[in-house]
Amino acid sequence: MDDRDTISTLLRAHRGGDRGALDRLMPLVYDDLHRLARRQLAGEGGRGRTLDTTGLVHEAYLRLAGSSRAVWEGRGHFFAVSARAMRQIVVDYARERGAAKRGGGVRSATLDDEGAAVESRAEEILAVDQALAGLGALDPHLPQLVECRFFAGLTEEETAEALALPLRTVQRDWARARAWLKRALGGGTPPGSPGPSTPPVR
Amino acid sequence: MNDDRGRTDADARARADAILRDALDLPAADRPAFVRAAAGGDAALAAEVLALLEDAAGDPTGLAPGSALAGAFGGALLRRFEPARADARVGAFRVVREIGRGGMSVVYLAERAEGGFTQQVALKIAVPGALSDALVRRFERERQMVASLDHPNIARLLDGGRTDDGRPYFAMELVDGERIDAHCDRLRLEVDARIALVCTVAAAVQHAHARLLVHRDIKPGNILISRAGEVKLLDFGIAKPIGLHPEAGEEPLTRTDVRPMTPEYASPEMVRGGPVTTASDVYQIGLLLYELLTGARAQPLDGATATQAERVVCDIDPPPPSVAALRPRPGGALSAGDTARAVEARAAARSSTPAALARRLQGDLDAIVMQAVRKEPDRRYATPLDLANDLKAALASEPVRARRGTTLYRARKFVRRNRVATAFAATVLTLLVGFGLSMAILYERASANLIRARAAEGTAAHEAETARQVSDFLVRLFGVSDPGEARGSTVTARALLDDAAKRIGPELESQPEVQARLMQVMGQVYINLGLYDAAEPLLRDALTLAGKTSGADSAASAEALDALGTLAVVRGAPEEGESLHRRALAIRERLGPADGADVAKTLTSLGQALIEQARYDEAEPVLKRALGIRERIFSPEATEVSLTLNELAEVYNRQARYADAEPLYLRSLAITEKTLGPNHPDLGYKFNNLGLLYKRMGRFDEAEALYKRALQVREAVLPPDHPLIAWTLDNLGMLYITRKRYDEAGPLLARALSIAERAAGPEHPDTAIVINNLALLRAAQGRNAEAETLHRRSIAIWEKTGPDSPQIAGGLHNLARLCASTGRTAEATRLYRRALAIREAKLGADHPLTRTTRDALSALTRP
Repeated sequence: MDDRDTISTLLRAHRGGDRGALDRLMPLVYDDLHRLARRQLAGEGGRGRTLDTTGLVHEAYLRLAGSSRAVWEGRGHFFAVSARAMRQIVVDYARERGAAKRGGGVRSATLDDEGAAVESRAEEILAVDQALAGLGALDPHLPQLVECRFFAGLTEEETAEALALPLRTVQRDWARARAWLKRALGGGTPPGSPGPSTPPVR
Repeated sequence: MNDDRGRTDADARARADAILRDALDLPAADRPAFVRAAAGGDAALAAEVLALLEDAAGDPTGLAPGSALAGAFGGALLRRFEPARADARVGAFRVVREIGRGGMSVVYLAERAEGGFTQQVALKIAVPGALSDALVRRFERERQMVASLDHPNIARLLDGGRTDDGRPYFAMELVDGERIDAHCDRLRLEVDARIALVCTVAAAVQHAHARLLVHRDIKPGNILISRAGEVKLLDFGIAKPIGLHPEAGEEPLTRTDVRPMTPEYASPEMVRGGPVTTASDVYQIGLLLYELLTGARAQPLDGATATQAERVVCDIDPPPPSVAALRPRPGGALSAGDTARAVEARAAARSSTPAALARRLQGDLDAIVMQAVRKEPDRRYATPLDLANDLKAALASEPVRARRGTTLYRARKFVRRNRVATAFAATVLTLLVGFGLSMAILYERASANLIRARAAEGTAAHEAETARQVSDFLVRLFGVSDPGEARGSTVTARALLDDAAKRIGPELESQPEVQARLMQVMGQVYINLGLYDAAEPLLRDALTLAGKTSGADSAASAEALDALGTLAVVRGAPEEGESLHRRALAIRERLGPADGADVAKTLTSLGQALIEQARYDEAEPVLKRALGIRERIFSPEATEVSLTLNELAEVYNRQARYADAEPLYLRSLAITEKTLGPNHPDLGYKFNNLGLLYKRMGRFDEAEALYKRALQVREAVLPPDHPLIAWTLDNLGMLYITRKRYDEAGPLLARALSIAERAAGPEHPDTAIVINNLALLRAAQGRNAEAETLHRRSIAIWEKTGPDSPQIAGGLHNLARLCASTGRTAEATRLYRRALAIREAKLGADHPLTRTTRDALSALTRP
């Protein structure tokens, strides 16, 4: 089987409730996104500063949907899995960078000018990743929502499709998730004195 | 201590989150007022939520959509996607070009200068992030072992290490050759030549086994024939030291540890997540042999779903090679002409004709291949060498071991399957207990019901078969390869349940009886967990299926009706519940005996439905009959007895016959504590009900202590959003109102309301009780406007559920009192009159509540 057929089969199995399918699906989607990211990069003839993750996910989907042998049953589920893969890609990389920093390893000279920015960002991303566990304790779909929005850059509409939630809920819970995340990251507004117009005291 | 603290924090967060969530649904201007109202006087909570709202409204740039990849970080990450470019250095090697890629690694042609000549290698570099730290460490350990392999038919591992950015790499002997299957077909190798190649492969694998290494991924794509005609087995990179099974585990398996295996070449134990031993390699050599001899795959999976694939790998024996050689490939050619041609082409690739090929395979070779690919590891050849020796014997026309002793096979297979199922069922229960929920008990009870229902219906053999299939299903449910994955770090019982609910349909399609029973069991578990919406479709399907398979008058149908009835009652539709239970009762009485356990069970449920309709006079005889039956057939301390005692006590309690109720409650409580232990969810009911009784009797201290114990049990064993927690909080809050401890009552009722709205629904009559009680608190605190709004809201909800209920009367009475206290006498009089009329009709003229209303009305109308 071609990778794409495998992905399609596993997606169907996962939708059908086969939990093991996700285990086998993730590395494939992960790899596919990697491949597309590289191509995107090459196609632009240079390196953009921001990866178009939404574009990536869409392209990965089209590849899958266009494959003739693949029977396809909806984009939403693929978006959700891709968002999880994007989170994994980003967090794995952040972890490596963090580890490199902690280990005080030798860095290549070309990265030095941006190294500090990358590392502080890496720490922040790791903190978000860790905070998602706590968020999941409040409501299991919040981490998925953050995966879609923050990590994969999906629009509100796509996120609603991915998680099979009403758009209203996605909008509300994205605000809710950010409030809790901000708190977890230490940047949250401390509870101030109650009152309708009292601005919170830092 | 720490646990308590963590629990309190989690509670506080959950409470704040519930208010935050609701507030965000409102227009921004209305939020502050709502937050303060919902926090119910808890200033710290209100402040917390207001601060969260600030953060939710702001647009913290760090968390903007898609921003995980913005800026320098994104740029740096992008560079990681770039392939190792030509000339890049990895360890001692220089990359020449990419030559292939797989799910977890990219393979490059690379070279190193050594002692004056250039050595070319295949350099395999892991995809960034594809391997967990633990797995990388394990790979490195294994590398040492793989490096010790020195066999002409195993591609050598030359070097390994980590790239500058920490990814593991392996340098392997570069083999210039073609896949074994392509090689055989291109040269039109005959059966004997193909067998000789497989014997060489087997010898190489045997060499690795002697060094405690299992290959685990033997397939045509991993075996090359070099230009010099040498067999080269590739990819011992994923080989695994024998004995280091995850369950014996040095390190826990992580998600990334599950390699995307090739299902066509997987062994049953791999698919099932069992220990993968040398027997797995024997199986894979068998698959290779099968395919090289016949041209067909032993495990064809084109277009199969994962579930089908699992069946093909684990349960379905392939046709013997001599049969497969004559058959078209499944899913292959389209027309009959093509088919015949394809079969001929496969034979021709073996320098033979279909008929001659089939004859050659029949007999010894069929037997050898089939023994190598047995589903049970211990029925295969013990070693690759044994397989090779038998193949050589077949080539030499000597006696073959595979053709001896196959008679025991079927019988053993059956016994083994049952033994495995039994062992796993025990594991399932242990797992469930481990999840901290009382799910084990729920399951136990459910399966006891199941077996009882079964026994009432039919033969013991049939019963055993159904029970076995149920446990098989549970085995599959919990036998997932890595239960720690897919939903965050822990699998909740809820997730397992949801998973199971989804799988019952597709996986048990061919066994509707088992399907019906499982659906009903799961439906009951959902009810017990307070997940009513999830319960309903399962129970409806269970009823339909039970009707189809066992008949509309069967015990199975009655079970499903009872479960649906219970669901209706807890959802606030007791009339519907009553009619369902009456249907079940009619069936049970017809099936007999009329004083049997099943009848008593339905009677108890029917009693509950009547209580919820305030038809206490009718409930009493029904429950007395149930109690009589249960006391006779069970021991006096049986759980069944305590359940019925509790319902009967409830009748007396609601009729204000407190002295009758107390001894029954106490007896029921004593049984429950004794038989079910201190943390069973049923205890929550008992504490709560007795607390309610004591409160009505004015014994407040005892009531408070009981409510608190009820809350403790329920918070320990139920999910945090369970409606029962809401009702307990509500009761405790009411007690505090009675005792004028308003500041303590506020947060309890606010939390009760938030849970109730989420769990039972905003329009549920029981949610209205909480609203009513919150209104009473506001009235007591002098916040009359709020109180009136809340009262009207709760009355409106009750009126939707049914006219003239005792609850409506209570709401009207309360609202009347509020009006009276604010001087609106006319309105108060009108409301009291309506309340009195209902109470007289439903509760009787002498009920204390009726008297209270009558007294209030006369006090008001008397000048």
